[in-house]
Amino acid sequence: MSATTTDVGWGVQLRAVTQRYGPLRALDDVTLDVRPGTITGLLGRNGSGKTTLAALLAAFRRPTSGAVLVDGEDPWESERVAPGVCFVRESGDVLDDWCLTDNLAVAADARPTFDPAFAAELLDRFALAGDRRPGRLSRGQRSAFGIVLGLASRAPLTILDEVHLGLDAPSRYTFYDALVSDYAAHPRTVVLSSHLIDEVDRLLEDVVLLDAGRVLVADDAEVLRGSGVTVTGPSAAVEAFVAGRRVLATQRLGGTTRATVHGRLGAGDDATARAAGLELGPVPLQDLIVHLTGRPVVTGEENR
Amino acid sequence: MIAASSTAVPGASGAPGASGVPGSRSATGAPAAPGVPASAARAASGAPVARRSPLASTVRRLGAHQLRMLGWFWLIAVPCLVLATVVVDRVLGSVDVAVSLYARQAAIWFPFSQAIVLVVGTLRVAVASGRTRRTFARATLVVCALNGLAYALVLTGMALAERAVHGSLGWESVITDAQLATEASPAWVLLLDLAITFVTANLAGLLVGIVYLRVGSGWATLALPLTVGPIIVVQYVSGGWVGPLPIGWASSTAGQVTTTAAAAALVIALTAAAYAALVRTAPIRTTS
Repeated sequence: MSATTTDVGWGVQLRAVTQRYGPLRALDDVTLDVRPGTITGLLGRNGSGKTTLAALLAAFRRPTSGAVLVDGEDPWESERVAPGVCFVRESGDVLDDWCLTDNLAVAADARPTFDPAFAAELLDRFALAGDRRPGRLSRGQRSAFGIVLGLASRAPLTILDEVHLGLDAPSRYTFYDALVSDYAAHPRTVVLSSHLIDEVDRLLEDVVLLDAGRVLVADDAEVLRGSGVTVTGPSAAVEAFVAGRRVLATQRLGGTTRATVHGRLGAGDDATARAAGLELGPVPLQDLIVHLTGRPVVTGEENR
Repeated sequence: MIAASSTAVPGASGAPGASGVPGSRSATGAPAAPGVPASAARAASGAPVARRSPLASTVRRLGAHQLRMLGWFWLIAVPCLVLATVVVDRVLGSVDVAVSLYARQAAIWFPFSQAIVLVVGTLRVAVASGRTRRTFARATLVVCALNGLAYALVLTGMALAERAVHGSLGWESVITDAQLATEASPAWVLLLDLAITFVTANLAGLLVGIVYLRVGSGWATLALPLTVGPIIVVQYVSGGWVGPLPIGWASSTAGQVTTTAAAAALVIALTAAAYAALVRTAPIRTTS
């Protein structure tokens, strides 16, 4: 994956980046590219380094060592890059005592790409009144306002860090729909960090999986989904088919079983499965990620 | 792969709902036509995007807030000073001191605390909004310096008005706090005296705020003698706390004013430099 300047968003490069907090290595020798013009999922368990990585891209802090480049330039104190990177956290970096409209005006002042009309439309969609103050909003409403800021900024590099955790399900789907439609109309680079992997799975084009501060996987989402297979059918037939394979997860409902298998199928496996009345499908990212991050050691071979 | 057309369709994401954001406008600053998304108006106009500089827009936003706080301060202070004058008149039969200048300490410490709030509350938001720390540091220094001058102008104006009223009633307007200006001084000396003190107090507030933000409450409290130090030094050189300057520092009033102004300028410059240096390297915490 190459990270170059394009008119559809900014690429990101990290080279041997380490971030320490005292004795803790939040990021450990991370080398990574994020392609411009993609929605990249930044996934991993709590404490894996997702927020730290995002904070480095947004120049919230400087790495202890290594190089961070956004659109080919160190984002730290860059007058050119700073307005083009929008990092939205679930906690929200807004002025609590200023109304939403004034907070939006601050963002509009700072970001050349900000679209006030789109912000107004998103406020309507999330049923947020412009005269409310962030400090008096519920957690879900604060999350929604963060999304409004993040999407309406239309920054060439938009980083959304767990912004939708506080939202109810309908609001989360409103967010996903708004993200996809606006991304299609205004291509840019979006880095989306989330624990709700099942929900965001369909949005992701690339995936970066962090574990204990290291990059476990950085690949095209389709390639990852193809690195395993789900096998669905009568329980006995499924058990016979998966015998000897690495099974990541198993779900049973009555006499039907769905097993998630890691690894590519061999020649003839397809036909064998069909003959046994089994249905094969792509592996859910969530199962794969739970598997990859659920063990202390994962070899490179198993990453693919 | 998600389809990502390279042909941007302004406003394709939805209806042009400008409701909810008063003053919705295009990036050129022109109001978007009714029913036309700002982005569409911007694209259609083909005009170069005219944007206020980051420094100017940050100064305007933060300055407007500080101006509101200044308004509230004097809205509360003025009735209190008038009431105090009336009470003293009723008790003593005349008022021979400049009552307005008793607001001096309040006008030092209120903006000082506001400056702390300013840096602690808005640095994180400024960086998250796409401002550099350099812009934030410059903007806050400009805003706080202007804020100090504004307080000095208001208080000088009040003192002069009070002096005129006292004069018409046959009262004196003695300045009881020993400081650079006396009741016999020209107005500009009083303005200079107050401006030096108030500007320093504002900048010291910024310094206290950034130190608390960077090193936490324990070390920052220990560092208070250093961070509040500029106010104390300026009070000292203007004679505000310890009386007139020692003989030898200045042999005349004019010399005293010059010496005080030069010393204060040095203190202000050092305070501003220390603050800017600390802001420029400040990390934004991402963990609670």
